[in-house]
Amino acid sequence: MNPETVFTFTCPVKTNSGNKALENLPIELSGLNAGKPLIVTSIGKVGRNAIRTLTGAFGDSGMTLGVFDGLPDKVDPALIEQLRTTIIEGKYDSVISLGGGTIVDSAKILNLAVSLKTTDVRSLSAQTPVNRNLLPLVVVLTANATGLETSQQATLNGTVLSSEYLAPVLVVIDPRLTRGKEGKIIYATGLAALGRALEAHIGAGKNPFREAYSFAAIRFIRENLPAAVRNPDDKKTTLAVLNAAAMSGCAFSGTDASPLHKLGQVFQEVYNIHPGIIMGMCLPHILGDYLHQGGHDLSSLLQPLTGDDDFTQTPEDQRAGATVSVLNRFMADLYSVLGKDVPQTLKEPGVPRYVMEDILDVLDADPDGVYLRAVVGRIWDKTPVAEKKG
Amino acid sequence: MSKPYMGKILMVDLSDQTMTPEAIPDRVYEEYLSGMGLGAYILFNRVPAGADPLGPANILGFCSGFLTGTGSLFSGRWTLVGKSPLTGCWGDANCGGTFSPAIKHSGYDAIFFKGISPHPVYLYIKNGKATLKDAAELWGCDAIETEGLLKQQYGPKAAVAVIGPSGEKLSLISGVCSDRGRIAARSGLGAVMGAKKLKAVVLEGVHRIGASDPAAMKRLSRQCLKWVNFPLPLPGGMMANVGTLLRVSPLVFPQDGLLYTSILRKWGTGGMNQTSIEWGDAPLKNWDGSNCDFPTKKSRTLNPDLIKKTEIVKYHCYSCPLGCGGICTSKGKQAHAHKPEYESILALSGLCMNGDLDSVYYLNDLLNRAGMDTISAGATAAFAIECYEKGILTREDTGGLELTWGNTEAVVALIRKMIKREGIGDLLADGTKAAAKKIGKGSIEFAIQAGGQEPAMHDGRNDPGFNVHYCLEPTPGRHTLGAHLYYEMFQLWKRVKGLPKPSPLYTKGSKYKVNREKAQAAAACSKFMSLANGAGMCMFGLFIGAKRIPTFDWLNAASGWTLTPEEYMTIGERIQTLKQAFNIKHGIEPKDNFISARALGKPPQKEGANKGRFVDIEKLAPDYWDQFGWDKATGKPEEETLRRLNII
Repeated sequence: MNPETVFTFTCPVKTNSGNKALENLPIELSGLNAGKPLIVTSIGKVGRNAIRTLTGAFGDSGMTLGVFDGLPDKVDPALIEQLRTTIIEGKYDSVISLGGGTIVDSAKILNLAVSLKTTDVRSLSAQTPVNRNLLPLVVVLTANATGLETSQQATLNGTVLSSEYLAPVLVVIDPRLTRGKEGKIIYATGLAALGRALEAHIGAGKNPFREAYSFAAIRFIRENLPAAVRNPDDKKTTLAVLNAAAMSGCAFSGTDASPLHKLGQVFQEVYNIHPGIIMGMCLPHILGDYLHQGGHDLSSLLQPLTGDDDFTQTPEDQRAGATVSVLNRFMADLYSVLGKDVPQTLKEPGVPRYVMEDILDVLDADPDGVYLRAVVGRIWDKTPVAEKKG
Repeated sequence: MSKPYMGKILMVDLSDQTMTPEAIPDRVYEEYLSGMGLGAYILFNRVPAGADPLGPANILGFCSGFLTGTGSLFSGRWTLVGKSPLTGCWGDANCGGTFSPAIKHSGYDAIFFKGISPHPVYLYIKNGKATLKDAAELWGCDAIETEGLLKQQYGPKAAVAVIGPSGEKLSLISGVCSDRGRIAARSGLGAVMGAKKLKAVVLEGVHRIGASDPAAMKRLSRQCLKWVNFPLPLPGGMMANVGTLLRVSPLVFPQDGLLYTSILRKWGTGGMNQTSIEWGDAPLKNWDGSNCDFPTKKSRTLNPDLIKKTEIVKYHCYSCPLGCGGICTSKGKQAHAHKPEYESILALSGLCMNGDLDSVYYLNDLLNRAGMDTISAGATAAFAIECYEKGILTREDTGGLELTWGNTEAVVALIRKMIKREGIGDLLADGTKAAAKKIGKGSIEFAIQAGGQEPAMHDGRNDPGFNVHYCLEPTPGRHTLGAHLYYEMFQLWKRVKGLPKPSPLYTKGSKYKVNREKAQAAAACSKFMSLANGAGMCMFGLFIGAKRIPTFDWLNAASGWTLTPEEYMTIGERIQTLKQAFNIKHGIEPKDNFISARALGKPPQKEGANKGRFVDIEKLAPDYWDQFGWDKATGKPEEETLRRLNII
């Protein structure tokens, strides 16, 4: 990489990770001049214990907490408007989002609505200027994350809002909350992180900071995801996967939206499927295409995916092909662990054809629509490449 | 003394883009109230005989209820009126939400449109000042999208009524939407709005709505609240059993509406899904099936508890303490949508033998956005499936769709085509009767309709009262005007002298006997619902019972009149007769509106809850017509009746 290349990289997210990371929250909030946070979450997604663990971490801090645990699966503008009123009337000074995915999207939109004094949340759009600090937003990750939590994006019913001010100021990754009940949850989180980290790593506008984040994320996934999927109750490996998710979000913030991310997002928006599941289905196809087309620096992925030894032992002209093979084997291994728990084609989770039409409509509006449509066609009911090669 | 009405209407001529406020004499309100009554008064007098429903001479009216905003409960309904392009008859549709008070707050009791605009427009009224604005950029947008765009421009408090793409494409089964997906769906009046190139009506205003005796209004409303909160003794899993019990029991007792009200409060109208299927109230398989075809094992997917699980928050229309609506999450493009109603669920599921609840949510939202009537759309899909089954339609005709019973994907694809008016969808987008005319080959036998309108999801073979109203109302095919069951729940005999009281226990068979009491009960329902539609009252509130829900007393307290219940029933009778007179003026023969033979039980069903049932409408009609002073043979109002009611 040429150090003279002009680039910008911003990552305003501080990470607190490790045993009892949650216990530092009161101090961190005090440092942010906040003393009365509102916790927003979904009890159905994170469970009662996670909420108890989080609120317990405030112990005798003397802070007053508000808890709203009824966030739905999709961002609900009407509910956000009500929560906005709660924050203003209750004089809350910060927001803590417990969980991942749309929970964090809701928290980001809520933070925006409060800080911008927006009464009609539906009026927020991609053009809404977000150019000043919002309330401190803390994200406490649980096993069911997507990687976008730490990004500078929020999605409001299909509309993507983007600003560095949308990113949380702090992400907390505590092993008490990263353990999952099922391997497929950690699988989806890991694959979403892997997909975004891969795209950040080889995407246009590469810079050394982004590469550092994506490199570490890919390596964490490679080294820990299979074990975490086998034993989702394992603190060490699930903590690593969630760290990778947080890093992938930071890396992805500086990347133009790319096929894996777009496909993951559209299926999450329209049919509420975890983007990691879709990314897992699409990954072998898209990387296979990249290999065919050339022009993408696939060879640079080999080092984080295999380690230094394998990387140096592989001739330079074979590294791109080796990357695809390694990834296909990696996917096949994961599928073999999870068996039928994880769908490998779109038909398996029962996405009806009529919903597919809506998805294709959204994809058609994308500049890469023709290609994305083709990928969706391939993952509808065909055996994934990973399985063939595995 | 404060009046509950504004005393004026706005008449908009879209052809020459003029807007004229008109004062309405007090006499009109005393004789017709407002709402549907005022609409009937204006249309009867101003739409020329034989006017083309989609032409400039037809008038489309948005009418607020007489009681709306006065402090009474259950009075948030607005009525859309016009000559129906679907039936050629008097057309109306009503809807809850928040649009009804907005009409009054804007300064008018009703807003009427005549003529045809040369280009798409929408009407904007703020505190009585009306402006027609260009709607070129809104044309083509779906109903919810349009409402969102208009609310972005005028603020979230603006009330919006809008047509979707179906109305723009002149689908004869299209309606007018408000409140992000609620729809005044029936009679095809969305097509009238589309023909007039009127995309939306946007209202803002702070005009005060008065009442003659506000303290009495408050007292009456408080008194009836206790009945609204009557607790439900049943869990959701029992609802199918209730239906089975009702089916097998040879004896019936009059049903108290309190039970139904508590079901509505807990689940909404969908609370009755399984009960109705089991009991024989829900038509299945294009009215040719029975509970045997759609057994509990299959109907389990429509259990009200499953629907309840998707509800994020309850939805209350204006002034409604019950809240039978809800905002739900669903799988599909849209994050949140109105909870599907019983009619929509059954039309899109049981009638097409589709057991997939996700697809029902999906279609409900799709149709609400398009502004197409869910009842007619489901019924037309069922008709097409039967035509396909009988070989009348081929795979080539359907554009490759395998139209078989229960084929969810095909039903969704077909309805999509209807919305877009693509291929076979273009043929079906005007409802079953119009489609059967084009298809021919005897397909009219499978087009279940009354006067061109698809009846709702209540089988008149199970409750012959429904068939009476489907066939004999001036707006054929409507279920919101009366039934045997409704009469029992309204409990009108407790307030109105001379009405028959149902016996405390009777056999099912006795419901099918033709006698004067049946005619009296049916006519009382028609009169009462015409009155209620003039007042802007919700039928679900009225189910609680006439003694518990003080409709007549609210009307007196709001207006300062001292009319008796019998005198109010005469107002209902006048509205009903005026609608019938409208039809006669436009050359309608009431007997032509009788429902398709299959829905009458001709031939009778061979199995299921309605096995062997037949409703002899030819015998029932003369007695019903006689109750109004209409000719017993033809259903035309007698001159003497028109004079008695001060119509001529």
